[in-house]
Amino acid sequence: MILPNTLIVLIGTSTLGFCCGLVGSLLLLRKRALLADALAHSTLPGIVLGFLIAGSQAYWALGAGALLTTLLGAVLVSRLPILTRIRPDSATASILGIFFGTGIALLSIAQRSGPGAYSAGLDHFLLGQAAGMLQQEALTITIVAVIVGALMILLHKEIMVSCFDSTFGKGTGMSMGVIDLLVMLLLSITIVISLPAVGVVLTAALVVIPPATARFWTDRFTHLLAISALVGALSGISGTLLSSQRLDLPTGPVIVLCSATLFAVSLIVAPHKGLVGRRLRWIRRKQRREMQRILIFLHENLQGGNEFVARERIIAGSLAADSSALRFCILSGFVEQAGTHLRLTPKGIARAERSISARKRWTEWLDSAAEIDRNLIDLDEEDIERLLDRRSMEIPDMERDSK
Amino acid sequence: MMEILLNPAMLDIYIVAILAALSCSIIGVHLTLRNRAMLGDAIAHGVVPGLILGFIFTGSREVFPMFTGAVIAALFLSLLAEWLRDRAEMDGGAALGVVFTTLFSGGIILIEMYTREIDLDASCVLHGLIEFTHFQRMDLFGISVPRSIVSISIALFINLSALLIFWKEWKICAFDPILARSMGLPVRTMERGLLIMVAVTTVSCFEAVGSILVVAMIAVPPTIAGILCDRFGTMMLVSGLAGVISAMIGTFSAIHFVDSNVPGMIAVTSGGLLFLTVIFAPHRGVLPVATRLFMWRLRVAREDLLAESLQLSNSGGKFVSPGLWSLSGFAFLQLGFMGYLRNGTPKGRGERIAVTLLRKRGLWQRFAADRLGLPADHLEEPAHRIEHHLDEALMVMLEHEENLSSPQDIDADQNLDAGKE
Repeated sequence: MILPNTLIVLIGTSTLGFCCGLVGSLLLLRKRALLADALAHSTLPGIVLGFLIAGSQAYWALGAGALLTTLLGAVLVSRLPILTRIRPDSATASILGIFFGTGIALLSIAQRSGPGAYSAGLDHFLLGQAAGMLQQEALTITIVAVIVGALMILLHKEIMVSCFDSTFGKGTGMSMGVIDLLVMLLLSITIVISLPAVGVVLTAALVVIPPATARFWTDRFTHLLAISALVGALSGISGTLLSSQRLDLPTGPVIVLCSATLFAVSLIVAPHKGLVGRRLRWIRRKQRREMQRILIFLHENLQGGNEFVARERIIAGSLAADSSALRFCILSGFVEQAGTHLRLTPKGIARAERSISARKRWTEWLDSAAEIDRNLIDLDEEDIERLLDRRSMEIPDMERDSK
Repeated sequence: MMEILLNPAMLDIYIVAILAALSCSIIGVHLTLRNRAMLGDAIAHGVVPGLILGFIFTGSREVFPMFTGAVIAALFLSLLAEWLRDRAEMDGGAALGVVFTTLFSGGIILIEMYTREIDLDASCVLHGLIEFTHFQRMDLFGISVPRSIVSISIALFINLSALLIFWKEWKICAFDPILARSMGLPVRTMERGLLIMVAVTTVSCFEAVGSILVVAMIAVPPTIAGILCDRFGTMMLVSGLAGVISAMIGTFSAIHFVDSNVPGMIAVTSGGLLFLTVIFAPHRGVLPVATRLFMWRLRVAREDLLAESLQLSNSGGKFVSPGLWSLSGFAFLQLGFMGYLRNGTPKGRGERIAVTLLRKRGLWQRFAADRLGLPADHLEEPAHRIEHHLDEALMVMLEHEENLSSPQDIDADQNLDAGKE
């Protein structure tokens, strides 16, 4: 049973996750993920100034103030390294420290001078209160998410170019400055609307974690955006539902932990870039390499006249670290067992000959065309075979003939 | 001034602030040189679960378990981020961002779950308890001293001695880690040691003065020093100095002027210092660069005016003075004031300048046409720009070149070429 209040929170957090995921992937591709953290911190002076000027905690006053200082922070972070000799990383960290410190100083002034009952609530912007999300906040988040999504669809080509090759973009006549400005604006707005829900630090989490998660699954720009938005929305929903089961848990941190869980799962199981996938690929490659050594060794023996070779000699002679590669050979039908000895099957002979000829051509090509010393070439037969299979099997032959 | 010295509570605040700023700005230089300035911010947030776990496991609010927990959390954070960057091939910033925000969320949940009843609230973590430094005391060899002064002094001592003992090694590791490795220095061990120093410093300052001061002091003074200095040693000195100055002015203004939060005001002061540095830094500041550019443009405008007026007066044309509200208008006024340009004709030194400029223009034009083989009818415009950059030495060389290849020689060369064909 979902309460109407929970429904509002659910809508708010899921669209927030969606929006942050979209904007965050742009930052990730620009290698500026931590900019989100700096900008989230630089909202604080704006919030307090908005409060001091408006005299109340009106949503719009605080939001406008926050947007103003965030944009100022964004401009400073991007301009300082151009104006003088500052590294981008130092500029980000400095702006973060200075703006947040200013915010804290202003906050303490506001708390001492202003009406205490009201100003105490400003503290909530540090950690956010997603469970107490108001209808108008959820509505604002949804509107912003729709705008951000629409802009991403409309401008995805321009934004993609600005992320990967802005020089090329400039060459084709797109205005990269405007696109960068737009991205900064979207980022600032996203950060400001997420403050009341998840607070200063956790906003950075929502912007950083979903794209980092999505990056494990894809290399394509549009897929990255889609997966990142999906991860954001999913962690928003699951976090809200989890924390509504236990009322004493704050929603914001639970959302972040949910997306961190998705991140950890992706880190481990993602097929291409995940840790397990990498490990498996490495093991398979090693096994195939060892298998190839065994086949070539047996083939050499066959040429030398002994068809049957003892198991121990194979393992010692082919430098295969263990007998699993040998087992693999038998299973694939390249080698057959005859008592204690082993020999190549016709299929195995064909395979070994293919490897040997690929290896020979490769060394010859490197020796003649690339002029690399034969002794310096570290051969990985499997790679060579794959490369040569594709298109260049004939080329070394032709060169040899012409000689 | 006297009242501060007479009031021990205030004096303690000053001492703690200065010590914390000093040790953070030393660490900050190391991090800045490695492009890792954001590590300070990440650690300041990421140690929260360590603090809480230290508290939960021992059940006491003693300093030592919480300190140990926080240092372990800081090391865990930086090593995990490094591992993600190297092994999972993530962007370094993104890896750091993922790790520290996750740890911080975990910390907040731990606070909510286990430490509801005690007053360990978030604002205390952020602001620190610098105002109460004087009242949290401990016994050291029978003398009662403020606790945070002791812990920060230990961190500062570790940082300073590590810096001074391994001075050369730090330098090489920061600027050229590959050279350091090829020289047989234990680069990995040194980086690990640096991480431990960062963790100990951050946590001890964090406990005493709050995370804002740590974040600001690790980032801002080294940035100021980075603009001003070109050498490792001076950078360390300037960074420490900037940290101390921000701490003193910030504390003073927070106590006496604006009645605000001390770490916040220190951060604001350091921001002011950074602003001043960006604007006024000699050679690299915004203002000196702009001034240099303006002076150069003014000189070009002056020289152009002189050359133009000389040409016109030679050919009998009439010199029209430029509009007043422009760069050349200003240059015109300046020339009139200096007496270089009278009634549209260059006089005295002005005339010499104009003659030299025209000679440079002609020399370069002939050189480019004859020696470089550029089309002569396109050389007017570039010659007009390049003439301002040619100095005396280059002019002598151009003259020498011209004498070597008189027009007859060139004609002869061309005839030879034609004959070959």
